[in-house]
Amino acid sequence: MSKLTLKANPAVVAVLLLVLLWPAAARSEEAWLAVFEQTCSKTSEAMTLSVAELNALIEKCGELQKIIETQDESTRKVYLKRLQMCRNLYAYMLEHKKGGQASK
Amino acid sequence: MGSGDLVACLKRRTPLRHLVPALLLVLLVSSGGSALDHEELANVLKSMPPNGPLWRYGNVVMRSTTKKAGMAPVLFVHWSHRTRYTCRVCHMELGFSMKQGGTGITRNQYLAGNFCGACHNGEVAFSVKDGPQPQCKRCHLEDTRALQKAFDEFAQELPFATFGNGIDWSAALKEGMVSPVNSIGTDPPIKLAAKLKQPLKLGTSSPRSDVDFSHQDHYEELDCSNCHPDIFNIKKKSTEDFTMDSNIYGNFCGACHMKVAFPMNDCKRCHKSMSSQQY
Amino acid sequence: MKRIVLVCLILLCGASLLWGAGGTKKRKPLPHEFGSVLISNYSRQAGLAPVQFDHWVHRKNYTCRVCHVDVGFGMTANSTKIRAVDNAKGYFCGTCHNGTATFGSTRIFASCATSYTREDYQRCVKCHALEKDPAREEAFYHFLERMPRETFGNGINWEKAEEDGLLKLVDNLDGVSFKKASMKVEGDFALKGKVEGMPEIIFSHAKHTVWNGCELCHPEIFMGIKKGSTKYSMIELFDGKYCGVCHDKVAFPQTDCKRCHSKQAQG
Repeated sequence: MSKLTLKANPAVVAVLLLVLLWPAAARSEEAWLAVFEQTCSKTSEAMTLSVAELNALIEKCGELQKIIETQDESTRKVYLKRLQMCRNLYAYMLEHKKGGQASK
Repeated sequence: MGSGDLVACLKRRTPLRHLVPALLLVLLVSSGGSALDHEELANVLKSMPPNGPLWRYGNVVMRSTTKKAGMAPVLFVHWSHRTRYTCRVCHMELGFSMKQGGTGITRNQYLAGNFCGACHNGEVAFSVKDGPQPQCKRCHLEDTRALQKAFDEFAQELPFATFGNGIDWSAALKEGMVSPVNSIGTDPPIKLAAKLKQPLKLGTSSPRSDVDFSHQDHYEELDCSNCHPDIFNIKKKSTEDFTMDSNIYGNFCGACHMKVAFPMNDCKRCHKSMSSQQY
Repeated sequence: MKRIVLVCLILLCGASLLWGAGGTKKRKPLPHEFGSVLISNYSRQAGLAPVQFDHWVHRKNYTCRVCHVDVGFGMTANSTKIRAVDNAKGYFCGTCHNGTATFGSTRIFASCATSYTREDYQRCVKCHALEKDPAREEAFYHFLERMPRETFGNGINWEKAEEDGLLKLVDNLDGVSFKKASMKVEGDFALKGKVEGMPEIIFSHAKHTVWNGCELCHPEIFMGIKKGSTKYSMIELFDGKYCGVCHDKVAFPQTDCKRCHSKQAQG
């Protein structure tokens, strides 16, 4: 049966491949968005995170930055700004924790 | 001898002959300046010594929307209001602008109890509403004679001065002859900071003309926000940065002390070490 | 004669001085104009008037955080560099102004598109306003009537309005905002002013974080964590720095001294 399909039409094959690969492409775009969400949704609890966690988050931000820079202009504009705010807050908290001084 | 000579003499002395070309020249040069527009400049010139009729000093004509409404412009008189309320009440609590035309008063606004309507509601003062005895013409003045007469009666009791309204408001205040209310309750003032109770020495080009500015005297009738930061940006501490010329144009001290508060005829009020000439 | 010449000379000097100095009196914005931002990056290139953005229309429905953190708007005029294409793609203004999103039961009008018809143009000038809109002004005063008052700024005490339940601000946009854990809020603290005798400033983190979150202010606006590590002066604040980033043109203005300098000093 499959032999028949393959022989039948290369166009069909192309379409099939596209259909199979398309969600993967979409998934990879959504993938970084999901990572972005995971990373930057912790800003409201930044005060309670440990130095190690903050370091990990900042590293993740660095990776995200590389991915975002490959996106189109509009996405870049928006997400780089959001990433910057998110990353800077973590860096700020890290500095505070490393400094070891109370904020009051 | 005779009328011909008199006319010639008048023509020589009339300021208009000199004023018009001077005005034109000044207007040409100042066309880029944003400090005052041309009408205001004309007012400034009119207010230079001598200040004009006593009853007229400090009056503000409000005509932004009156023409469209078919009413005479409003003639607002500072002299009758300043005995009852300090500058702060109107210019801060009620939101009146320090610039003519800057407040945005409309009939709808004051009927709703804003601006004039805050007091002119029939309880504190005569109402602005239409009724059996509308008081429109008391403000939308068409004939100023009654007002002038009212001023003469009003000024009788108050200490005399040779400039402005012909009333020494400061003396009146100090002697308790007038006790204006400093807050109608919407936003009472905070205590003046101890440091600001000291007079502020403002240097000028010559030590003889140095000014001792009293925050305390001003705080009795004004709020911090009336001057800071719009009129006085606290960056500039001394008068080296601003001059009498800019004052004459209504900047800095001139915002009030040209047309409403005591005019700058009385040099000694601020420049205490100057000789006592009036101008 | 001499006096007149002297007067004219002074005026001439004054005029030229001022022409250089540019005057010092600023016009105070009227209640309905307060918080208005002129956005003018690419509008003229596109043949449209710059955008007149009114904060009051938006802040009665959303928190500051939603736009300035989640959507990514900058804190100063023209810093965001919004293009029509961004809006058309559903970013920035287009996040909500896309013709399908709703606030409550009202549909939010769409923003930019790549091409527009004569009818569409009426929609464009809602923001790219060519002249003052008296209807907008009237809408403001209508809104103002129901709100608790204050002397400065919009004349509306936004804080009290929310406290009294007159406003319910949206803090989360589906598809844009992240699900966040609730924040442990810092307590209030007092800051001593520079001028002796001025009442101390009571700063409340709680009042700010409920609308801003953390990243709006830290570290971009406020660098030092340790209280009092950076000395702010009113000069800088009036210049639009630190507290002045918001409390100069959008939040209650700094002319309302006692809102911050509120600690009652003894004696």
